[in-house]
Parts: sequence; C-alpha cells; structure tokens
Amino acid sequence: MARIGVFICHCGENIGGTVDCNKVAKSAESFDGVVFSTDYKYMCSDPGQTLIKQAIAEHKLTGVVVGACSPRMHEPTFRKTCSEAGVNGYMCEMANLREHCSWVHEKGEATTNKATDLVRMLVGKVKNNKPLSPIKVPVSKTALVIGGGIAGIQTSLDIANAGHKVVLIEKQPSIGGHMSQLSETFPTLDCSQCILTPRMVEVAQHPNIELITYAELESLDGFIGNFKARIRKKAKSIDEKLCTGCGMCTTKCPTKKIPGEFNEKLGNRTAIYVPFPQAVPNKPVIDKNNCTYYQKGKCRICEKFCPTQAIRFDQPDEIVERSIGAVVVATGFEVKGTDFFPEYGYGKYADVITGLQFERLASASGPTLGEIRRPSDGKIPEKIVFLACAGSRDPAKGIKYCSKICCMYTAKHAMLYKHKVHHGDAYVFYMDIRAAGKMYDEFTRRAIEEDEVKYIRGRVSRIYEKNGKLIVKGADTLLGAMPVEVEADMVVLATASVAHNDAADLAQKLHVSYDENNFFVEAHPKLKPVETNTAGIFLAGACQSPRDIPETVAMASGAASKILGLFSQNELTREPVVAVVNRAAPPLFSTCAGCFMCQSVCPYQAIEKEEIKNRAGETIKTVAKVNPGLCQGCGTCVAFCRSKSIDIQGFSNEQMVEEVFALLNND
Amino acid sequence: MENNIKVVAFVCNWCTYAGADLTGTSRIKYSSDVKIVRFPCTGRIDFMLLMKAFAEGADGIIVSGCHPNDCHYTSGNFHARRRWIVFKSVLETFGIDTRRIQFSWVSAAEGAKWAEIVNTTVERIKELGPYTEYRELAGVEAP
Amino acid sequence: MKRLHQIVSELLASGKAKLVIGYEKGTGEKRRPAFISDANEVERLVFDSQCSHNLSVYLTKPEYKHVTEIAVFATPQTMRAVVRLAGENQFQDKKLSFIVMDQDQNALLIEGAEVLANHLGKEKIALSSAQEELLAKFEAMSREERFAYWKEQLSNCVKCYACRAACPMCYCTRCTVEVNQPQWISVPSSLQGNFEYHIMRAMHMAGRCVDCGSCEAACPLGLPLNIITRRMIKDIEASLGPDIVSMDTKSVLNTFQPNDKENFIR
Repeated sequence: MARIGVFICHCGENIGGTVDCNKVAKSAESFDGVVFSTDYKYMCSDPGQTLIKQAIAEHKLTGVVVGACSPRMHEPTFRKTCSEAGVNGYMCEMANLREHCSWVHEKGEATTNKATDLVRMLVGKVKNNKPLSPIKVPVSKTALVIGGGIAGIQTSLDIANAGHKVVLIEKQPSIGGHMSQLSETFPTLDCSQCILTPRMVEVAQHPNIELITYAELESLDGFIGNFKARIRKKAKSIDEKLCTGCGMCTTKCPTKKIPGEFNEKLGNRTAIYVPFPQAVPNKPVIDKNNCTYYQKGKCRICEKFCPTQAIRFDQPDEIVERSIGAVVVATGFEVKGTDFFPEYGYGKYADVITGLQFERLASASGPTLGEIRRPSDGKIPEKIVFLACAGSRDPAKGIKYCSKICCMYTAKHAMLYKHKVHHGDAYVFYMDIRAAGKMYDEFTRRAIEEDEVKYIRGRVSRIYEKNGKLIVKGADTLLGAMPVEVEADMVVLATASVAHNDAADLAQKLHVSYDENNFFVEAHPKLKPVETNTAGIFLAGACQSPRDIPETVAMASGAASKILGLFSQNELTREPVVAVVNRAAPPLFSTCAGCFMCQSVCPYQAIEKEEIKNRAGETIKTVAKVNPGLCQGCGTCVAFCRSKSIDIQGFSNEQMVEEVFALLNND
Repeated sequence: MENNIKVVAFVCNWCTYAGADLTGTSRIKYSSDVKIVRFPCTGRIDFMLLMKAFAEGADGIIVSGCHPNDCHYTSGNFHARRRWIVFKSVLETFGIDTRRIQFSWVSAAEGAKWAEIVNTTVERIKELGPYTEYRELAGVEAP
Repeated sequence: MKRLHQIVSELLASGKAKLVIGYEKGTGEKRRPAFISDANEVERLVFDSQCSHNLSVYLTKPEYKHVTEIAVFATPQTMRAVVRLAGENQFQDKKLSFIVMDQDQNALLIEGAEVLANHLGKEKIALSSAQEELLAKFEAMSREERFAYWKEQLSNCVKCYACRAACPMCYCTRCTVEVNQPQWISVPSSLQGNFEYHIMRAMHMAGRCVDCGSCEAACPLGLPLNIITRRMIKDIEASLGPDIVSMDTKSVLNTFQPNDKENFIR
C-alpha cells in the first residue's frame, strides 16, 4: 500500500497570501493513500527539508507530494531530499501551487480549491510512480568542431592539447576563415596572417586533430557523449596522398579568370586552385563549376602536367562517419551584400567596395600586394570615404542589430590608408563610435588625432559618379544636419555581419535553436553563453552573434573547457525517463506485435529490433526494444503504440490516467 | 452550475508548461477553472487520455505544446499535429463536440498567450455549459 | 477454373505452399473461405467475382503462425492488406504465394509480398461514387444529429469484437480493449465504452485501413462501420494527401511533413 506524505509550502506570502495552505493540507489528509499532510512556510529551506525527512522516517512514507513552486524550479531539490531520507527520488512529485495557481489567480475559495485539486492530482500520480535509477552512458571522447576559422582553430587546439581527439571540418578548401583574409588587426595593428598561420599549421600537424577540409556535416544523430556524425567530404578531384602541393597544375590551368573568393573578387584564380598561398592544407581542389573538363568534357591539362598523377576527375563525394562526444559550432559569419542599398552604388561603381575587400587591398598578400589602389583603374585614391553602419542598426533597410566590429575596423582601415598614402584624405561617416574594449577607444582616438582621419557624424544619403569622382552626399548632424559633400576617389562600406545563409539548415541538423537573424542561440544569455539548449553542443565565435577576434578566441576556449569538463568523466548520468517495451512470461514474451511503426516516430533512432529465441536458437518472435542510452523520453512512441506495449517511465500510462482521474473526481 | 466547469490542460514540459510558469512569474491572471497536467512532449499525449478526461468529467480540454520546429525533441509536436488532425476528424464523425478541445502552440516565452488561450477557452466552455451529453453515455446501458 | 486448380495443385505438390487459403461455394451464391492442404481437395476451390472475404486476415492468426508456406487467393482488397501487413513486418517468417485474377479473369500466380506490391502498383485508396454519395448524406448531418445517430447505432453494439476479428489490420496479440492497467475502454456495458471502442478503432485504422469492408460485413448487428473508416480516409486525403498502399512501414500517423496544414491549432 502506498503511504503518501503531502507537504504544502506557503512560499512566504507567494502561495500563502492567496491560497489557504492549511486548508489544502487538511483536505489532503482525506485523499486515498495519504497518511500524512502538513504545511510550512518555506518547504525548500533547511528546516522545511528536514520536516520532510522526519515525516518520511516517522510515517514510513513511500511517496511524497510537495505542493510548492514549479517542478522546473525545485523538483531536483525535493527529489534529493527524499532520496537522502531513503525514498527513491522518483517517488516524489510536485504540485505547482505557485506559478500555476497562486500567482495567476485572485485570493479566494476557488483558488484554494484549485490548489487542492492539483495536490490530489499529483497524489494520484505518485501512487503509480515506481522507483527509478539514473541511467549511465559512456562518453566518446572525441569532439567535432564545425568550422575552421579562428574560433574552430582555437577550440580544436585547446581540446587536442588537453589530450582528446578532435575532428575539425571546414567547408572551404583551407582553414583560416575570415581572419586569414584580414590585413592587420585592431587595436595593435599586428599582421593577421602572421599570428594565424602558425596556428593553422599546428592544427594540420597535431596528432590529436583530424582535419577534414572541403567538407560539410551531413547529419548528426544521437545525444551528448554519443553522437554519430556523418560528414560529406566533397570531391576535391585530387588524390591528396599523392599530391605534393607543387602547384604545377594551378600554373598550367587555362581557366585563369575566375574571380577569387579569398581576394573578395578583386583578384582572379584558376579552376584548379589553392585559395591562398598559406592555405592549410596546401593542396589544390578543382572547382567543378568552372573547370573546362567538367563543363565541356575536354581539357585535362592539369592531369597531363601533374608530376605525381594525383588528379582524379572521377572522384566521388565521400561520406565518413565519426563517433563524437561533443560538438562545437564555429561556423562564423558572412558579410551582408549591399544590394539593399542601391543608392550607395555598390556593384555599379567599381570603386565602391566593402570593408572585407579593403582588407584584401591593404594586405601584403592581396591582389595589389598591399598597395591601396582602386579597382577601376589601379590609381592610388587621394580621397577616400568610409561608411560605418552600411546596413547595421537600420531596421528599415538593413538589419536592426549592431555588427559590433565595424567601428573598430573602419578606424583601422582609415589608419592603414593614412599610413600607406600619407598625403591622402580619409573621411569616416558614422552614427556613433562604439569602441568599448581594451585599448579600443584609444585606438579610434589615435585615428582621429594622430592620423587626422576626418570623422563626420551623420549618414550618407547617396553616392553617385561625376567627372570620374564618387560624390558622397551626407549630412553632419553635429553641425545641425548641415549637408556635406565629399568628392572621393574610393568609398568603403562597412557592411553588416550576418549569419551564414545556410545557418538555419545547420541548426536544424544539430537540433539547436536559432534567432530571428539566424544566429545560433546560447542556452542562457549571461550564464551559459557557449552552451546551446541541446546538451553536448556548444558555440564559439561569430555564429552566435557578431564578435571580434579576442572575444571569439575567448569563447572558443570557453567552449573547449566545457568539453574538457565533459570528457573528464567516463560515464554520464542521465534521467531514467525513458520508454520501455513490456516483457511478459512465455509464450507471450511481450505484447508488442512487432509492427515497428514506432521506429519512424522516434526522433532518436532509439528503437531497435530484438529477436526472442528459443533454446535451439530459433527466433520465436521479433519485438521492439528501446535503447535507453538513445531514448530521450519524449514518449511519442508511447502515444502511437496501438497495443500499448511501450510505456514511459515517469510519465507512464497508469500515472497519467490516474492523474486525470484524480484531478476530475473531487466528489 | 454554469460557473462550475472543469477544463484540463494537457501540455508539454518544455514550452507550454514553461510558458504557463512565465504567466505566473509575470502575475498575469487567468481563470482558475483550468488545471494543467504535465507531459514530456505533445507527442506523448495519447488521444485516449482526452477521451478519458471527457469521461471523467472534463467539460473542456486544452492541448498545447511547442510551436512547429521548436519541439525540444525535434518532431514530437509534428507527430502530435497529425494525430490531432485525424483525431478531430474522427471525433466529428461521432458527433463529439470538438469546440470543447482547444489545440494551441504556446512557447516558453508566451506567458501572455497562455493566459489568453485559457481565458478564451474557459469563456467558450462556459457558454457551451457542462459536457453532460458525453458523460451521460456512461449511464445509458447498451446490451 | 482449370488453370486455377492447376496452379494450386502445383503449389501443393512442390511444397511451395503447405496451406492454401482460398474460396469455395457456400450457401446459395455466397462464397466462403476454404483451407486446403491436400491436393485431392483442389477441385473444391473457386475464385470469381462473388468472392469478397479478405483472406489476408488469417495470415496473422495464431492458428497459422507455425505454417510458413501459405498460398492465398487475393482480391484487390486482400492485396492491399497483404502489402500493408508486409510493411508492418508481419510476414517476417513467412513464404507467401498469392493467386490473383487478371483483367480477363485468368488466375495468376504471384510469389512473395514484394512482387505482389509491384503488381498492385502505387494504388491509392479512393472511394467509389456510391460510397461518396452515402458519405455525403452523413456529412449533411449536424453535429448533434451525428451524435444522436451514433448513440442509436452504438446502443446495439454488444462489443463482440467481430469487427476486430475480421479486420486484417487488427492483428495485435493484445488489444488495448483488454488492457486494464489502466482501463482504457470502460468495461460496463454502456454507450460510453462503445463510443470509446469505436473511436479508438478508427484512430488505429488511420492510414492503415484498406477499405475492404470486412468489419461491417462481420458485424452481427449491422452497424454502419464503414462510414467511420471511409469518412476518415476521405478526410485524411483532403488534409494530408492521398493514402497510397505501399510496403513502407511509414504511414499517416507515424510520419509528418513540417508544413502539414491545419486550421484549428492556435
């Protein structure tokens, strides 16, 4: 016989002010199965918990109902209290008398009656609860890092250096990400590639890191500690084992005029190409969309010249599978196009470029070898205008958030320009200067004061061409919105940082949330910035929101440390709220009819086939079996099963029916 | 009599239950005629439980969970949605009053929506009155 | 008929079938199921347009569990049921052959459920115009009229479960009706239990019913059970797309489309 104890919490005035707790406790005494009932000011306090423990001992309770706040708040607390007093934690349930009762109803008899109903409902459930023990599952100590920019590189190195395996996948032919495209970095003006490329090489050579470039995640199944990642290795059309990276193929390739992605289309590349000289791995891939052989069936010049016969035109995409314990999403960002600002003439005027294009112009490895020359005629611009906020903080035409990095890189661009073109004039149109960060404000001040960059607070309404000059029309709001017109040779737009266009697809593959701007959502904006709501999946860098390099690196190391914490355990403990297929004595064995229609209902592939064999080893019956390691306890199979052969622990059919029955039968 | 109605809400733990918690923390008031039963997921909510609720005295039922694409278990609510599409059709065949069942998606952030769903549902059920029509079937002997 | 008898004789002689489930003459023009395992009895078998019984129902019965090689006479409805049952993994340990009638009423032998599925093609379950007409009458009723209608009809139901026994898709070892922890279907002989039973049966048929009419034909009290399933078939097609018979384990209620349309969820 069940011996249930009922404990009603006043939560100070929170419940007690609206609900007559004493009356609820008194009424509960008459509920079937209840042998003890009381109320107390703060049940979650130490004395409150002691009260429960004493009652358990004194009245030999087998189950407990705590009428208090939401179980989402204190269920773990009271389950722990019970187990400390010798009652299985899963024999304890909470009636939500605060969030679902006292806080949403007025003081009065009806509210007290509802509280009584809720307690009776949970008493009905607890009578059918069964003691459960937590499930232990092994952890596979390999991390999957998606994205090989600075975030992915940092996370991978941190995890690998701690002695765990990492699988790092990168969509592009080389790792390095946006950081490898940058010329110099704020606020120190140190060369981006100089600090990044050693890390890239370290990744490639690290014994604990498996680097898979030109690859994308196909699917991710399983759960924390036990993911199965399927990775699509796109065909590079190269046998990487044979290729020595000599570069003969790229020099001989006749298709030379493809606008290069790495140089933001300011320079050209060939169809078989290495994205940039310091690429890791430094081996080419064939761009099938531009290769003459793939498009027209003739050429194969690279194959002819390759000294190691490494070209493989018939190479297929390959799917590889890896067992993964945790995932870091470090897919970064992309720069928003400027087509939503036709008045700025991007695409129409060759000398209106984006900030990322300016980085390439300023970079020593760029198309102009670091000289600031405008794309149209290669002349050095005498007058240059930078537009901060080209799309950011503009809910009407662009995006409503601040892209965060533009103020700083615009100041940097203006400085780099002044350092290279000493006699030139640099103008910056800005909304606000947001330079919060160590040495950041000092940096922008230096641009204004030392390098004499002319900062104009105001927005630009239009850019048009006149007599070979770009006329930038704007207003200076610090001078009473006085119209300003600058005759520029070149204009740089600080376009917004946005999420990748396929971010939502990836989020759905990973089962993580994404916000209205398609940035991945952290589990808590303050306290869990690198976690997602899906256990075992973490975030690093600009895929979560626009971030600069120091923040990205900090976040990447944060994600790595979370994973190292996870990998420090050999087993994970999981809630035993899982589905179970019933078993019965022979000759029935189970009421499962073996239709296996539940398999396609299960989001976790947790339902397997089990063959029941006789002594001779012949299969007598094939029935469903739930893998408790994979089951996440949604219970969709339970509601689907026609013969009621699957049930879920903690929310079983008997528990739920009894709950409804107890709730509705108050007379 | 008219005021004495019972509405049972079957909700998922991750969205609507949390949403109803938020209604509480926001101190938004709603009718106390509704009592919430917590399930892990809308996918868990067996249609037979709804039948049991009507049989045991519910005058109205709310079924609520995560918005499509937001399911904590990725697809429980999609399966539930199909189940309700078919179930509603079957109930209509039998002349069961489907105005007494309110299906909804209420996220963990939609505390105000939860209060609104509850209040409009309770209002409607009060207009319809107690569902004695169905409960009385228990007293009609069939051979 | 000669060809039919020849096929059956060969099946029994070769051992490809240890049991043949077919039809024989019954009272008057009626046909009834015949179970034959002796080649000498082959002459009893008939297969013509009068044969309507869905014989696939026997394939999952415990009585024939231990017979592996079975040949079945298959009408179009039987074929649908066989294909669906195969999709639901019910013939894992069976070697089945089927005798079907081609367009010219010649007997044709088909070996294996997969081949039968190909023979059937991508058949969509659709209602005949006569069935549609009958449904239209029902649809015209108000909710209150429907409730009254079923109250009257189901007050005759004795829960004999003949509908369940005749249905090829009702093969569970233990039906929910028999579950008493918890008691899903109320036990006392009242209208409520009858409503619960028939609503549950309808839900369990969703996307699985092959519209063979066996349930209604089997009902000793003549309840219009086909209205329930046919109205559901029609509604499912309207809201979720055509109900295609296939060997896929996936069905209407265990699959979904992210953009499934409804107009009642707020």
